[in-house]
Amino acid sequence: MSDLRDDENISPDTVFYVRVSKEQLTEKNSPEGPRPSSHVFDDSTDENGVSGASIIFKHLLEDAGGKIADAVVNPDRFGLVELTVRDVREFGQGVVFDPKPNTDQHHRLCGPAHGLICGPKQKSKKRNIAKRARWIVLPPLT
Amino acid sequence: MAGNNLAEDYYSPEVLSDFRWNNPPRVQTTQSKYMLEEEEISWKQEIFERFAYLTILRSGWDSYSAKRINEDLAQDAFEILISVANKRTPKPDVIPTKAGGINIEWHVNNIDLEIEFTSLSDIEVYYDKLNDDEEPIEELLSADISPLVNYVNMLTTD
Repeated sequence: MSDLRDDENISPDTVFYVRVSKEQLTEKNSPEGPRPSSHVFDDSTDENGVSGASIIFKHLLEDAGGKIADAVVNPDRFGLVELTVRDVREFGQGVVFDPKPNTDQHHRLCGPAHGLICGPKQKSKKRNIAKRARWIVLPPLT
Repeated sequence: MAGNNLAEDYYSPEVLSDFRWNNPPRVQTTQSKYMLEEEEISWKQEIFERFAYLTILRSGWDSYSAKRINEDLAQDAFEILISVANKRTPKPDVIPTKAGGINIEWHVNNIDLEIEFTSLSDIEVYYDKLNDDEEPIEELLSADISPLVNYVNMLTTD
Protein backbone atom coordinates (compact mmCIF):
# COMPACT_ATOMS: atom_id res chain seq x y z
CA MET A 1 0.00 0.00 0.00
CA SER A 2 1.31 3.41 -0.91
CA ASP A 3 0.40 6.81 0.51
CA LEU A 4 1.37 8.53 -2.70
CA ARG A 5 -1.31 10.10 -4.84
CA ASP A 6 -1.52 10.35 -8.60
CA ASP A 7 0.19 13.43 -10.02
CA GLU A 8 -2.60 14.81 -12.18
CA ASN A 9 -0.15 17.13 -13.91
CA ILE A 10 1.33 14.14 -15.71
CA SER A 11 -0.37 13.72 -19.09
CA PRO A 12 -2.14 10.41 -19.70
CA ASP A 13 -0.16 10.13 -22.94
CA THR A 14 3.15 10.14 -21.08
CA VAL A 15 5.16 7.04 -21.90
CA PHE A 16 7.23 5.15 -19.38
CA TYR A 17 9.33 2.00 -19.29
CA VAL A 18 9.34 -0.80 -16.74
CA ARG A 19 12.36 -3.07 -16.38
CA VAL A 20 11.57 -6.81 -16.42
CA SER A 21 14.06 -9.38 -15.18
CA LYS A 22 14.32 -12.71 -16.95
CA GLU A 23 12.95 -14.40 -13.84
CA GLN A 24 9.71 -12.43 -14.20
CA LEU A 25 8.66 -13.87 -17.58
CA THR A 26 5.56 -16.00 -17.94
CA GLU A 27 3.94 -17.84 -20.83
CA LYS A 28 7.25 -18.35 -22.61
CA ASN A 29 5.74 -21.03 -24.85
CA SER A 30 2.51 -19.18 -25.62
CA PRO A 31 1.72 -18.51 -29.31
CA GLU A 32 1.39 -14.84 -28.38
CA GLY A 33 4.85 -14.87 -26.87
CA PRO A 34 6.02 -14.32 -23.31
CA ARG A 35 4.46 -11.81 -20.97
CA PRO A 36 5.74 -9.99 -17.92
CA SER A 37 4.38 -11.50 -14.72
CA SER A 38 1.91 -9.37 -12.81
CA HIS A 39 4.56 -9.27 -10.08
CA VAL A 40 6.64 -6.91 -12.17
CA PHE A 41 4.15 -4.32 -10.90
CA ASP A 42 4.53 -5.14 -7.22
CA ASP A 43 5.40 -2.23 -4.95
CA SER A 44 8.86 -1.90 -3.43
CA THR A 45 9.75 0.34 -0.52
CA ASP A 46 12.80 2.56 -0.78
CA GLU A 47 15.18 3.70 1.98
CA ASN A 48 12.83 6.59 2.81
CA GLY A 49 9.81 4.35 3.21
CA VAL A 50 8.22 5.40 -0.08
CA SER A 51 6.36 2.56 -1.78
CA GLY A 52 5.48 2.02 -5.40
CA ALA A 53 6.44 0.14 -8.53
CA SER A 54 9.51 1.63 -10.22
CA ILE A 55 9.22 3.09 -13.71
CA ILE A 56 11.43 5.15 -16.01
CA PHE A 57 9.87 8.11 -17.78
CA LYS A 58 10.86 7.97 -21.45
CA HIS A 59 11.03 11.73 -21.98
CA LEU A 60 13.11 12.30 -18.85
CA LEU A 61 15.51 9.53 -19.81
CA GLU A 62 15.95 11.13 -23.21
CA ASP A 63 16.39 14.58 -21.62
CA ALA A 64 19.22 13.10 -19.55
CA GLY A 65 20.85 11.77 -22.71
CA GLY A 66 19.80 8.19 -22.06
CA LYS A 67 18.67 5.59 -24.53
CA ILE A 68 16.70 2.37 -24.29
CA ALA A 69 19.90 0.43 -23.64
CA ASP A 70 20.53 2.57 -20.57
CA ALA A 71 17.12 1.72 -19.20
CA VAL A 72 17.66 -1.99 -19.80
CA VAL A 73 20.91 -1.78 -17.76
CA ASN A 74 22.00 -5.35 -18.52
CA PRO A 75 20.54 -7.18 -21.55
CA ASP A 76 21.78 -10.52 -20.21
CA ARG A 77 19.30 -10.21 -17.35
CA PHE A 78 16.69 -7.58 -18.16
CA GLY A 79 14.20 -6.47 -20.75
CA LEU A 80 11.89 -3.51 -21.00
CA VAL A 81 8.18 -2.95 -21.47
CA GLU A 82 6.41 0.25 -22.34
CA LEU A 83 3.13 1.65 -21.02
CA THR A 84 1.37 4.99 -20.95
CA VAL A 85 0.08 6.70 -17.85
CA ARG A 86 -3.41 6.15 -19.25
CA ASP A 87 -2.82 2.39 -19.25
CA VAL A 88 -2.37 2.30 -15.48
CA ARG A 89 -4.87 5.00 -14.54
CA GLU A 90 -7.56 2.88 -16.16
CA PHE A 91 -6.92 0.36 -13.41
CA GLY A 92 -7.02 2.84 -10.55
CA GLN A 93 -3.31 3.44 -10.30
CA GLY A 94 -1.49 6.75 -10.05
CA VAL A 95 1.89 7.87 -11.35
CA VAL A 96 4.39 10.21 -9.71
CA PHE A 97 7.87 11.50 -10.41
CA ASP A 98 10.46 10.10 -8.00
CA PRO A 99 13.91 11.14 -9.23
CA LYS A 100 16.83 9.31 -7.64
CA PRO A 101 20.36 10.55 -7.06
CA ASN A 102 22.99 9.31 -9.48
CA THR A 103 24.76 7.11 -6.99
CA ASP A 104 25.10 3.99 -9.10
CA GLN A 105 26.76 3.65 -12.46
CA HIS A 106 23.94 1.46 -13.78
CA HIS A 107 21.33 4.08 -12.96
CA ARG A 108 23.31 7.17 -13.84
CA LEU A 109 20.94 8.14 -16.63
CA CYS A 110 17.83 6.52 -15.18
CA GLY A 111 17.92 8.19 -11.76
CA PRO A 112 16.52 11.54 -12.94
CA ALA A 113 13.83 9.70 -14.93
CA HIS A 114 12.70 7.46 -12.09
CA GLY A 115 9.04 7.41 -11.11
CA LEU A 116 6.53 5.23 -9.35
CA ILE A 117 3.18 3.60 -10.05
CA CYS A 118 1.25 4.10 -6.84
CA GLY A 119 -2.03 2.87 -5.44
CA PRO A 120 -3.51 -0.32 -4.03
CA LYS A 121 -2.53 -3.21 -6.27
CA GLN A 122 -4.89 -6.14 -6.20
CA LYS A 123 -3.76 -9.06 -8.29
CA SER A 124 -6.41 -8.41 -10.91
CA LYS A 125 -5.14 -4.86 -11.43
CA LYS A 126 -1.53 -5.95 -11.75
CA ARG A 127 -2.54 -8.70 -14.14
CA ASN A 128 -4.49 -6.28 -16.33
CA ILE A 129 -1.61 -3.82 -16.38
CA ALA A 130 0.81 -6.63 -17.30
CA LYS A 131 -1.43 -7.52 -20.24
CA ARG A 132 -1.30 -3.93 -21.46
CA ALA A 133 2.49 -3.82 -21.43
CA ARG A 134 4.24 -3.75 -24.81
CA TRP A 135 7.69 -5.24 -25.24
CA ILE A 136 10.50 -2.90 -26.19
CA VAL A 137 13.31 -5.31 -25.32
CA LEU A 138 12.65 -8.94 -24.47
CA PRO A 139 14.76 -10.39 -21.64
CA PRO A 140 16.70 -13.61 -22.32
CA LEU A 141 14.33 -16.58 -22.34
CA THR A 142 16.77 -18.87 -20.53
CA MET B 1 25.25 -3.25 -6.94
CA ALA B 2 28.51 -2.68 -8.74
CA GLY B 3 30.47 -4.06 -11.64
CA ASN B 4 29.35 -6.13 -14.56
CA ASN B 5 29.95 -9.60 -13.19
CA LEU B 6 26.54 -11.25 -13.32
CA ALA B 7 27.25 -13.78 -10.62
CA GLU B 8 28.71 -11.17 -8.33
CA ASP B 9 25.84 -8.76 -8.92
CA TYR B 10 22.77 -10.94 -8.77
CA TYR B 11 23.56 -14.38 -7.40
CA SER B 12 25.07 -15.67 -4.21
CA PRO B 13 28.42 -17.13 -5.29
CA GLU B 14 28.58 -19.58 -2.42
CA VAL B 15 25.68 -21.51 -3.83
CA LEU B 16 26.12 -20.93 -7.55
CA SER B 17 27.64 -24.35 -8.04
CA ASP B 18 24.96 -26.15 -6.06
CA PHE B 19 21.32 -25.61 -7.03
CA ARG B 20 20.18 -28.31 -4.62
CA TRP B 21 18.89 -27.49 -1.19
CA ASN B 22 20.83 -29.05 1.63
CA ASN B 23 18.05 -29.09 4.19
CA PRO B 24 15.37 -31.75 4.29
CA PRO B 25 11.91 -30.71 3.05
CA ARG B 26 9.84 -28.89 5.67
CA VAL B 27 6.48 -30.10 4.46
CA GLN B 28 6.04 -33.85 4.32
CA THR B 29 3.54 -34.75 1.66
CA THR B 30 4.48 -38.07 0.10
CA GLN B 31 6.94 -40.68 1.13
CA SER B 32 8.68 -40.84 -2.21
CA LYS B 33 8.67 -37.22 -3.23
CA TYR B 34 12.16 -37.20 -4.70
CA MET B 35 12.09 -40.62 -6.33
CA LEU B 36 11.36 -40.88 -9.99
CA GLU B 37 8.37 -43.10 -10.52
CA GLU B 38 6.27 -44.06 -13.46
CA GLU B 39 3.42 -41.89 -12.15
CA GLU B 40 5.73 -38.95 -11.56
CA ILE B 41 4.71 -35.44 -12.54
CA SER B 42 6.79 -34.89 -15.66
CA TRP B 43 7.95 -31.38 -14.78
CA LYS B 44 8.75 -32.05 -11.12
CA GLN B 45 12.54 -32.09 -11.40
CA GLU B 46 12.64 -29.08 -13.70
CA ILE B 47 10.45 -27.06 -11.36
CA PHE B 48 12.43 -28.21 -8.32
CA GLU B 49 15.55 -26.80 -9.96
CA ARG B 50 13.70 -23.59 -10.75
CA PHE B 51 12.76 -23.14 -7.09
CA ALA B 52 16.32 -23.86 -6.03
CA TYR B 53 17.64 -21.38 -8.59
CA LEU B 54 15.37 -18.61 -7.32
CA THR B 55 16.73 -19.03 -3.80
CA ILE B 56 20.24 -18.08 -4.93
CA LEU B 57 19.16 -14.71 -6.29
CA ARG B 58 20.62 -11.91 -4.24
CA SER B 59 18.62 -9.03 -2.86
CA GLY B 60 18.24 -6.44 -5.59
CA TRP B 61 17.83 -9.11 -8.26
CA ASP B 62 15.26 -6.91 -9.99
CA SER B 63 17.86 -4.08 -10.22
CA TYR B 64 15.97 -2.26 -7.45
CA SER B 65 15.28 -3.32 -3.88
CA ALA B 66 13.77 -6.80 -4.29
CA LYS B 67 14.44 -9.09 -1.33
CA ARG B 68 16.14 -12.47 -1.42
CA ILE B 69 13.70 -15.32 -1.79
CA ASN B 70 12.95 -16.93 1.54
CA GLU B 71 14.40 -20.44 1.30
CA ASP B 72 12.02 -22.00 3.82
CA LEU B 73 9.12 -20.45 1.97
CA ALA B 74 10.41 -21.78 -1.34
CA GLN B 75 10.73 -25.28 0.05
CA ASP B 76 7.21 -25.16 1.46
CA ALA B 77 5.85 -23.78 -1.80
CA PHE B 78 7.49 -26.57 -3.79
CA GLU B 79 6.19 -29.27 -1.46
CA ILE B 80 2.68 -27.85 -1.51
CA LEU B 81 2.75 -27.53 -5.29
CA ILE B 82 3.72 -31.17 -5.70
CA SER B 83 1.11 -32.25 -3.17
CA VAL B 84 -1.76 -30.52 -5.01
CA ALA B 85 -0.64 -31.22 -8.60
CA ASN B 86 -1.07 -34.42 -10.54
CA LYS B 87 0.42 -35.83 -13.69
CA ARG B 88 -2.17 -34.01 -15.84
CA THR B 89 -1.32 -30.64 -14.33
CA PRO B 90 0.42 -28.36 -16.84
CA LYS B 91 3.88 -27.13 -15.97
CA PRO B 92 3.58 -23.85 -14.07
CA ASP B 93 5.68 -20.72 -14.27
CA VAL B 94 7.44 -20.00 -10.98
CA ILE B 95 8.16 -16.33 -10.42
CA PRO B 96 10.01 -14.57 -7.59
CA THR B 97 8.23 -11.68 -5.90
CA LYS B 98 9.94 -8.48 -4.83
CA ALA B 99 8.94 -9.14 -1.21
CA GLY B 100 10.89 -12.41 -1.14
CA GLY B 101 7.98 -14.70 -1.92
CA ILE B 102 7.13 -17.13 -4.69
CA ASN B 103 4.31 -16.93 -7.24
CA ILE B 104 3.20 -20.04 -9.12
CA GLU B 105 1.30 -19.22 -12.30
CA TRP B 106 -0.65 -21.03 -14.99
CA HIS B 107 -2.15 -19.31 -18.01
CA VAL B 108 -3.75 -22.19 -19.89
CA ASN B 109 -7.13 -23.21 -21.28
CA ASN B 110 -8.44 -19.65 -20.88
CA ILE B 111 -7.69 -19.73 -17.17
CA ASP B 112 -5.34 -17.49 -15.21
CA LEU B 113 -4.40 -19.18 -11.92
CA GLU B 114 -1.82 -17.69 -9.59
CA ILE B 115 -0.84 -19.06 -6.19
CA GLU B 116 1.33 -16.62 -4.26
CA PHE B 117 3.27 -17.67 -1.21
CA THR B 118 3.72 -14.41 0.66
CA SER B 119 4.81 -15.86 4.00
CA LEU B 120 5.11 -19.23 5.70
CA SER B 121 1.47 -18.96 6.75
CA ASP B 122 -0.27 -17.04 3.97
CA ILE B 123 -1.14 -18.14 0.47
CA GLU B 124 -3.02 -15.87 -1.93
CA VAL B 125 -4.98 -17.40 -4.80
CA TYR B 126 -6.09 -15.59 -7.95
CA TYR B 127 -8.39 -17.46 -10.32
CA ASP B 128 -9.87 -15.98 -13.47
CA LYS B 129 -11.75 -17.90 -16.13
CA LEU B 130 -11.27 -15.62 -19.09
CA ASN B 131 -14.23 -16.53 -21.26
CA ASP B 132 -16.99 -15.98 -18.73
CA ASP B 133 -18.45 -12.85 -17.17
CA GLU B 134 -17.59 -13.80 -13.59
CA GLU B 135 -15.29 -11.58 -11.57
CA PRO B 136 -11.88 -13.11 -10.80
CA ILE B 137 -11.65 -14.91 -7.45
CA GLU B 138 -9.04 -13.60 -5.00
CA GLU B 139 -8.76 -15.72 -1.88
CA LEU B 140 -6.39 -15.77 1.09
CA LEU B 141 -5.64 -19.22 2.53
CA SER B 142 -3.78 -19.95 5.71
CA ALA B 143 -4.19 -23.17 7.65
CA ASP B 144 -6.42 -25.05 5.24
CA ILE B 145 -4.83 -25.35 1.82
CA SER B 146 -7.20 -28.01 0.53
CA PRO B 147 -8.96 -25.55 -1.86
CA LEU B 148 -5.73 -25.48 -3.85
CA VAL B 149 -6.44 -28.98 -5.13
CA ASN B 150 -9.72 -27.79 -6.65
CA TYR B 151 -8.15 -24.74 -8.23
CA VAL B 152 -5.36 -26.80 -9.79
CA ASN B 153 -7.80 -29.45 -10.98
CA MET B 154 -9.83 -26.76 -12.76
CA LEU B 155 -6.87 -26.23 -15.08
CA THR B 156 -7.50 -29.60 -16.67
CA THR B 157 -11.28 -29.89 -16.39
CA ASP B 158 -12.72 -30.59 -19.83
